[in-house]
Amino acid sequence: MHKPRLFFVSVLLALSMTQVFAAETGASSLWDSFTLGGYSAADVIVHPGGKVEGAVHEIDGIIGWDNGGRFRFFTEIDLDTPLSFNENRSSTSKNFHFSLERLYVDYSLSETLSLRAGRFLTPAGHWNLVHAAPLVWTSSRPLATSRLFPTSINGVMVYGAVPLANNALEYSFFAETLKDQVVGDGEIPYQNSKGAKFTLLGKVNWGLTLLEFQENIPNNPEFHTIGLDFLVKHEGWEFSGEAFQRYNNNDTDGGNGAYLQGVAPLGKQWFAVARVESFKRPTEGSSERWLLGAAWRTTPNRIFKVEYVGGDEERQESPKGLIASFAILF
Amino acid sequence: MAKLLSMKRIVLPLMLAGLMLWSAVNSASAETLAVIVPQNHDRHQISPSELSLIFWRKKLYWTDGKRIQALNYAANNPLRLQFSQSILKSTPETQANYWNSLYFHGISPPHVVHSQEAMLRFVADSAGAIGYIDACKLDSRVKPLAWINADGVVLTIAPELNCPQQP
Repeated sequence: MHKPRLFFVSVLLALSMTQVFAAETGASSLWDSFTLGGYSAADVIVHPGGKVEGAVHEIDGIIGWDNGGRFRFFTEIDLDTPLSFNENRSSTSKNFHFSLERLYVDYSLSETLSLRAGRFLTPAGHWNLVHAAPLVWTSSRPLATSRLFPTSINGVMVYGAVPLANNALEYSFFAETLKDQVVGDGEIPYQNSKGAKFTLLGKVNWGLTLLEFQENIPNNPEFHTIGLDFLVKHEGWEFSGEAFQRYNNNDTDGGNGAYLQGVAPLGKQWFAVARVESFKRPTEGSSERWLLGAAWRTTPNRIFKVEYVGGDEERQESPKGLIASFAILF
Repeated sequence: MAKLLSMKRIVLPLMLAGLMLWSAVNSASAETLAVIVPQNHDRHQISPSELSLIFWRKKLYWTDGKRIQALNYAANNPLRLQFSQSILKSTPETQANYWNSLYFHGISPPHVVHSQEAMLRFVADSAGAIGYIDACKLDSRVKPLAWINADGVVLTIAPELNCPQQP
């Protein structure tokens, strides 16, 4: 009984905080060393058969510390699915759980070389690094960006950015040092992950991802993955795409996935979104999706999205039908 | 025919006046910018790609290990617009999503100051700071590393400036 009340108080607090949200500020105080914020998202899905489901999917808290020295600290704590409802039950909060999304310390060794230790998002493709609902154009996430590689790693990373003629190159090399201690329902367990990511920044951002890992299932199959991604933005237009191909240790197809997405401005705050995607993983089968939708970015930190998702057989991780959501960054 | 000639007499001068006005407005809104650092900074030049990395907050440290403190003006400031279009190849309004994605990783955008005098003082007094001003406002408190002309070209040698006389 207290949990829903706590949730609503949290949401009200979050909404009131958005009134003072300002990424760019000239204010200077002791608290400048800390970043306190977060994001939240709620959605409603009308499945093709007419079944309706809704949920507040996440309330994430972000805490960062950076006093201008060589050390930085960052953590993100996720309260996952604190509230959900469907046609049979008016509301439930039984499925909610806390999880540690990120917790790391950065140390800058030089102007182009930094070291990260802790739990961090795997630098694979583009979407995985900006997956928060207020930062992406659609309520649904392409399966290729979430079920072909570990989305987070507990380990170490060396990263940096170097100028290159009129462009710049971002790089990262990373390796797991501690496998996930808790694996949630529906999550794929991974171990011994390591890899590298290179992004050439310019008018078009081009990315190359190289990954090696084992799925922690019988026979512990080992996978080598290569990924390519691109992102281009111009005057409200945005085109992006990612493709991943996995090979397992006996050189057979280990699965693959890709998506292509286009965003077109419809006035100042409205955007049209279209996406096609494909996904194949040996133990899960394959899936194809297409999406048409619209997004209304009322302010830079608030977004309403409506989309229709079609394709082949519906699956829990990739729903079909009409999806509407609201997301806020605070 | 007479009516047509009389129309030409009105329209042509109007077009010329419009062209002159457009040209005057355009030249007034685009100035030469100077990229500035503290006077005792050890750098003497900076490339456009390095400037871009710094103001996108991709590069956070100078070669000597000092933390870079990049400074901007408010999003509606014409100097910010000119700098953004020349170096970051986008307008401040379209950068909001980018800064939100960096905020998601605990990185804040450059600090904002509200006047060129504030920029001069902040840069002069802060080791590691970098900002930009109208090149005509340069003084001995800061050191210029580069100039950005009205066409968005980055120059490493001081250009000829046509600065208005100070009263």
